[in-house]
Amino acid sequence: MAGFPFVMQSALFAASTNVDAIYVPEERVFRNTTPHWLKIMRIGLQRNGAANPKRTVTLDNPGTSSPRPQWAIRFGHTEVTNGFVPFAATTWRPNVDEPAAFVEFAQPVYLAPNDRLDVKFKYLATLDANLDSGILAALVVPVDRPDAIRVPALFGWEGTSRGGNSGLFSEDVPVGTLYNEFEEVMHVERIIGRLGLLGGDPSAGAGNVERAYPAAAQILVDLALQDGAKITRDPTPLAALFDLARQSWLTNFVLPSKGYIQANVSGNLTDSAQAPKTYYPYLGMLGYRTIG
Amino acid sequence: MAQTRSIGANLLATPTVLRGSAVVATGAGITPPATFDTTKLQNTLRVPIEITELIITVLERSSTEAVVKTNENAGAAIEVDLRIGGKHLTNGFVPFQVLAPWNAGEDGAWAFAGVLTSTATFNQRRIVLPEPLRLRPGVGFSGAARRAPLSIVTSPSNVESTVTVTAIGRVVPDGILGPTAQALPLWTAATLLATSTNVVPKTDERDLFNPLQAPLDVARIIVASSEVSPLAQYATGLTGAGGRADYDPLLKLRWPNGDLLGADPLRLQSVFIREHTIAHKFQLPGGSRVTAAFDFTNAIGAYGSYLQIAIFGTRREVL
Repeated sequence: MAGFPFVMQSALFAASTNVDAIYVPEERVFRNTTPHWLKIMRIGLQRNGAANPKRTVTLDNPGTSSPRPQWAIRFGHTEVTNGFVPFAATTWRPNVDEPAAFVEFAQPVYLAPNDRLDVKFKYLATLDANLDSGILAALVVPVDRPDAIRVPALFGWEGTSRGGNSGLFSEDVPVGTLYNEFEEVMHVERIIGRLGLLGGDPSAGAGNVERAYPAAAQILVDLALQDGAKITRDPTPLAALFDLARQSWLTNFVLPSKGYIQANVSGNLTDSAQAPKTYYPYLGMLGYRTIG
Repeated sequence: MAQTRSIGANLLATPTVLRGSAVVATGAGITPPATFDTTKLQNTLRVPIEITELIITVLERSSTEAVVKTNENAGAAIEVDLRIGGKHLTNGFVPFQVLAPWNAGEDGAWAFAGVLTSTATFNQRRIVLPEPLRLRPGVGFSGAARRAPLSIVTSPSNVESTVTVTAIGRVVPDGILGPTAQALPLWTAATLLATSTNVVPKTDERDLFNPLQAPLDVARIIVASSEVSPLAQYATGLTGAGGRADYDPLLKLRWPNGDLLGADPLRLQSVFIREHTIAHKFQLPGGSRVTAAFDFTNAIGAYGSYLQIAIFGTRREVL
């Protein structure tokens, strides 16, 4: 049965100086109160201007620092994210000019009657007082009871911030981050990569987590699987690896149980003009595992 | 040659294009309909053709330099009434902006400023049909276009709007059987205007209505929303400050069975994102309607706010 679409939307997560406070939508917001199974089509974070009802670029901050939001998601009792993960590492833009950061599940994800989509949200840094507010929204449709349940897995990593003229660096993503901890195999459908640009002159794009184009060519990413099979042949500029518009690419491979993606981020940031700016590298992956 | 019911990938099919235009004159208020030249939108071959997509373009043009407003959405006030072989494809006139999802980047370089010269600007919507439409010899598209600025707009339009329908498809090779019933598209739409913070406009009985007895297999819901100035020229849009594609009012939408789209009023962009579209298949029963109300939440000076919604689907009929 294909029923009418339904949207679950939270209240506004207002701009706040309360760093690390965990925001939780009201219990009823993401609960399936219908007698039907619901299929989650997408979950996203939008930003809305409370004073002027227009949407703004979700991960931007017109000031000198980004709030670097993070979220944790569970379906029912099953974790989707391994704790809090950065938005910037676990979302992408579905269209070239789509400012919202959201996750769209190409594989069906289901909520049983009375089950909840449990989403928590926090900021890692303070927000400017005049910043817009964030809204979480999920698009769902009623469906027949599925035969098998595919549980999404959304993992992400935020690297160390570095100045625009900070020189050579190399950083490994911890093994337990892009890691299939489950007994089931994990089908990976998307790898996400993004460079956050924070600090410096706002008019030059500082605070914009989305458009750090110059440094994206100076920062290299090297990916491999747990058994050493290379995904990238050698360290590759981030800008060459990830579509700068959509910040991700579609994949179709399987991580075995206890398998993981090894990742190293390295580079040589040498642009003195960018010295006041700081860069955060982000890597993430979206996959699913089948249970039941 | 074995007869089959569809043009498969292994068969060559000659492409074909039908194109017809209607010119909507300058002037104030809702203009008389300008009809498309139906001879140009007709299958004049002696064999059937199949149409796979439609492209509707609006060219706004003035004879005076610098009259064309590049900060308004070209075609935002244009409405289209389309038929095929005498059967309605639209439930009356439907706003141009909600005929199809907005392409990526459309609200950037293309949507409001496909500026050809200082006297012309341009916009386009591309409609991919859920199933190819087969036209027998002699059958074609017909219809009309008009400019229907919102009631808040007091400026007369100083531009002429040329609305072009292009039907793109292919000639059906020999030996391909024709379908009996086809999936004919249908758009049903509504336009809501708010001019005061105390008013929450709602759709009426003619809006978002399935006029057929048969259910409509809905494929997409498409929206457009913006602030609008009384001084808007040829298009319903905004002169001066403000945005178009990023406008984010609150929406309440109720399905025919009484279910709501969301438990609380929803932010438009949370639901429809940048493509301005929800793509999901469901059925709208014959004779039923969807009701909508919107709260634009904030007035800015003398501006108003509008919301256009279209439900696009197909029904099976013999053409």
